[in-house]
Amino acid sequence: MTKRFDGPPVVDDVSFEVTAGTITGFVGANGAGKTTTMRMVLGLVTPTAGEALVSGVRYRDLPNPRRIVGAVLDDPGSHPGHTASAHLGILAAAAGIPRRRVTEVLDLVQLTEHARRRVGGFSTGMRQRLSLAAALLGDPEILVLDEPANGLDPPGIIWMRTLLRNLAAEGRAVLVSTHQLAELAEIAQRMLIIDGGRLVADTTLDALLNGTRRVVEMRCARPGALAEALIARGMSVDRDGDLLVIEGLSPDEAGDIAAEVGAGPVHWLNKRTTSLEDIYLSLAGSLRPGANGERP
Amino acid sequence: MSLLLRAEARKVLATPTIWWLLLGTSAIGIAGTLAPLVVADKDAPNLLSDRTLQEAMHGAAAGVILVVVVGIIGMAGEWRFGQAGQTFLTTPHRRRIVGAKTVAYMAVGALFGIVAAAACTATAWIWYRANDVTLPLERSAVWLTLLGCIAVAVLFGVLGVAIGAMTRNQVIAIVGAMGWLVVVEPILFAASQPVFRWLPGMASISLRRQPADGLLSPGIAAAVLVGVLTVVLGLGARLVERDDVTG
Repeated sequence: MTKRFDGPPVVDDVSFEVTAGTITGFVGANGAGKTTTMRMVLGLVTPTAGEALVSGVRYRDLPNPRRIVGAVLDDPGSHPGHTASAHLGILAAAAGIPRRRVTEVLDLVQLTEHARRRVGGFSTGMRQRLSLAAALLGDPEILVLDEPANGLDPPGIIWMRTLLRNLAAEGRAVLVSTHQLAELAEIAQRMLIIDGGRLVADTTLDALLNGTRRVVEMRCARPGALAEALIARGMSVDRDGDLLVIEGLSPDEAGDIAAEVGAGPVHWLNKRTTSLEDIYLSLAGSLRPGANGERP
Repeated sequence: MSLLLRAEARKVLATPTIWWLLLGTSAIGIAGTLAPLVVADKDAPNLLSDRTLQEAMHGAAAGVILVVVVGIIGMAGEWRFGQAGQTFLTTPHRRRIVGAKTVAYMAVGALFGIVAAAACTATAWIWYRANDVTLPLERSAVWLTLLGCIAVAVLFGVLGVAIGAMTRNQVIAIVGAMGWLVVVEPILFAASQPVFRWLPGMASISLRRQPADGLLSPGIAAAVLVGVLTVVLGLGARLVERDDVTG
């Protein structure tokens, strides 16, 4: 799909699939195109080119969309004067969902005791829970969640993580956008990274984390000699005092070479772990220092 | 459609502002009924004249502009609080939403009109009794005027939905509609009655049988109002269907 409002495309030739029983993380900076993409999937924004299919048809052609797709947008979409119960009751009435389901989802998101409170008085976290309750109202097989953990406190985030895991384990397809990459690393099986409107990664989390360059950090008695030997073998080496940062070797290989060239003894050897944040920053070009004048 | 109407009914019932506006419509209507009676001669022949009866009873529609506000809140309010996204997730064919709101706010307009008419009738009845005259409810000058007021309320409910669909901005819609109906149209009508009597606000005054010179006949006025509403509502529905929901 491609979407232009005015000027350059906000979403540029983005294509991906979300499969049942998995949590797919959708990551990108503010303005990267996540929300617009999700809204195109949900039929709220019309693509300039391309189309999104949900269970094989456009969203607007689904027979009873709320029973198939549940969505969290950036706001519960409730009149502040309505109670939580009334808000969900209105959505349920329009979708032909029995009233008892309102009680069930309020219980599921732990808002039962606030059911009669007006939404205008809700905290951000409570509003997020209400959004999720609306998404779950039709017991849908697909969930499209835009920043569902925004405003949740740490217990709320843990609760959300467990809930999403359980929903995926029940066979539902979950597409979730978030800024909390560490959270995503905990729950997502698949990752989509969007940057400047373009999809720069569409792969499993394992492939993303394992497919990165190997980096070893080493301190030894003669770092200069080791650096020269490694460079002579075509390795990339950064030196910071007595610390060598070596790309393309395992710790075993680095230790063997240090012994071979007489750079030992080795005082410290560390395999640098690559976090999702590191990978994200390496893929999202617009966030690299100096790119578009922005800094990470 | 019945599910959407049920959902709209729930929205109306759950929105306190609408009930305050019903109270306001009735209060303004009562004031609109009392004002001409207070200044009228208190003798029976005058109180029972068609003109006095019409002047008193058309007051039922004095606050009917608030029905336009209610319709605007019902439609444009969807965008004010981000409800539109949730509404269209349930019903992606957005014209159905506009259609359901049209029917729902016709009903809300009818309710406002009937309540205001009842309040005004009661007020006038009490006033007439206080002056030893019985309000002649059987006279066409009374019941046709009240029916006209209710008809205007019904059509103004639709007008609010249509304006709300066109603008999708509650504040602009309310300020624009009030300014147009209360200020612009009367000024234009005063400037040239034959030309500007065709405007919707002036047509509504004719339909509610306000005694005034230069207005259209009630039948033609009703046709004008329905025609204007059909065009504005059609345009509004098209915009609602077409435009992206980004917030």
